[in-house]
Amino acid sequence: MTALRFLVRRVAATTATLLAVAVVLFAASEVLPGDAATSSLGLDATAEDVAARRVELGLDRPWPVRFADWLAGAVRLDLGTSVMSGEPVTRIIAEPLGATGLLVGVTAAVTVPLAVLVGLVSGLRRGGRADRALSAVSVVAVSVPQFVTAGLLVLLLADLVPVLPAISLPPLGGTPLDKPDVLVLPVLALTLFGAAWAGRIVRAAVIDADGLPHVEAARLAGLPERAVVWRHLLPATVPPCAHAFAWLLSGLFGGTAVVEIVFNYPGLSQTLVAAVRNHDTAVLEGVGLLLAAIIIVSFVLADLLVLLADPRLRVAAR
Amino acid sequence: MSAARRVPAGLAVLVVAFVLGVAVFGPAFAADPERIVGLPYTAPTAGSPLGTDGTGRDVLERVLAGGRSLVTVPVVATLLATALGLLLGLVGGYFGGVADAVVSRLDHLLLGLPPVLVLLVLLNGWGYSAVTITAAVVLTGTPFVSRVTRAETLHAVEDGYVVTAYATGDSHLSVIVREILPNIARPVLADFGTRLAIAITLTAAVGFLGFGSGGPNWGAMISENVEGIRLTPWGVAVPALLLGVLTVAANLGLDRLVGKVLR
Repeated sequence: MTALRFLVRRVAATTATLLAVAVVLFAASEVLPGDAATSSLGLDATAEDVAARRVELGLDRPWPVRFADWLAGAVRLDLGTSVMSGEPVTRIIAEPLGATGLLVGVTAAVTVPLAVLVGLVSGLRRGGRADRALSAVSVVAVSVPQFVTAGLLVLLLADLVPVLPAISLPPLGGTPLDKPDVLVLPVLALTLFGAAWAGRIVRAAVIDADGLPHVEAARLAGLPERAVVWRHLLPATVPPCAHAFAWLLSGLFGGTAVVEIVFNYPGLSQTLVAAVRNHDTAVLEGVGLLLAAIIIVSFVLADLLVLLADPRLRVAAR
Repeated sequence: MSAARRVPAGLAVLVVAFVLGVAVFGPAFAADPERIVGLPYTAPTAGSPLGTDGTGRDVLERVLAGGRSLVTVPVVATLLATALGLLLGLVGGYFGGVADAVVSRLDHLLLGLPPVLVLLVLLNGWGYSAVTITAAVVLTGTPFVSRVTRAETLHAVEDGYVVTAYATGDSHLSVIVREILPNIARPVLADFGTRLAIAITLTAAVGFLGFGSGGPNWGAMISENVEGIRLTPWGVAVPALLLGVLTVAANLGLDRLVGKVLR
């Protein structure tokens, strides 16, 4: 029952953090100037118009009432209504979330194995030629802003050697899956950063795990190197790496922003940027809460993965 | 360092110095970056060596004029974030108890917010200004500094020289400034360059996402000119390369420099 107790504790902590994020998001749009009434009316609205609109939108109520209202809605997966389009926020978010989810999913499927491979190769032969070359490439890939990488990739693969589309617009009425080649460049741009960043963390974990007694014992017992790496070394790298991967992949939902814009990819960031441009606070708050929820949930999943990989924790938690 | 490695290192320093020079002193040489000199997206000519952008403005002039804020704003913001993180981490790590609990929770909360989201929420409220960007960099950068500071302070507090200083009657302030600060400076400042690179990225991203002042800006140039990339690549290639050199230099060069100075 220890796993269950652990899970309950994590869910409680998660709920508390999400609540804190909700308070921060709500407070930020409360404290910062400009509200939905002024932004939805345009420049030539009179003071009376704004006042009437505020009553209509319920903005004249005290903030604790509005916060409770918003939170009660969020719990029922109702994130309010956009004042600009009058549509429910959940409906505005749904399609871009799917598109970004697809992009993140494909990126994860490429990035995670690649990062593990990079980390293994450079960690097991540390100081070697491959390690030094990978380190040099990694530093550049991690430092250069992702939209710069993306811009240079477009230059290289869509312009100089035109093999891929420069703009990742899916066919009208379809999803990006109908035309998979639009995904290649965005995924490449995100993977270059992700694999380099996570590869360095895996490398450090591999070096640490290489010196562990049970790995040494497996080698001395004469196990073939492949079995040592797969059965004994890699599982020991899961605990230090799980949270790094959780941070990287969940951060992609919000962090793809600039890459999506380079390629005109119809994902969440287009929605976010449009919301900021129109002062559509309801959409901004909704996406913010969603992103925070994704980050926090993936950290809980990482905790579970660690629990699965390290039998000692299961015993210790008892 | 052998001669074979000294030449590339010297070259790298030259390139970085050149890019920094363009960023900091470029605005003095740019005549008028808003002036329309020709048709949109023309190839390089004698008059405009890097061609024109989508509105027919000179790309070279805009490159010269558009880099300064990408150096000044991130440097100031990163210094502020480092100072604030040091203060928070020292208070939490040294005094413990309630102060530590507050600092830890705050770090945890701030680390849970995606940087781009923080930036967009602030832009939504305040609109574009150097203050908005600085606030976003400070909010997202501080928890990283304060976490390392707190952990290092927790270690240092138990060291003999700190206990001795405290036991001989030194005040809290004197212990923190004279005993703890010098000993935690190296690990805390070790990744100053990395954080500066992140700040440059965030600052350039504002322009890139179209929330800038509308004036010339390397980040904005990339997104403005990407649609004309088949007609003339220079409006994207030059600002992208300059930004790339700037961030790599901040990340790699500065961290090495800090490491050497503090050794």
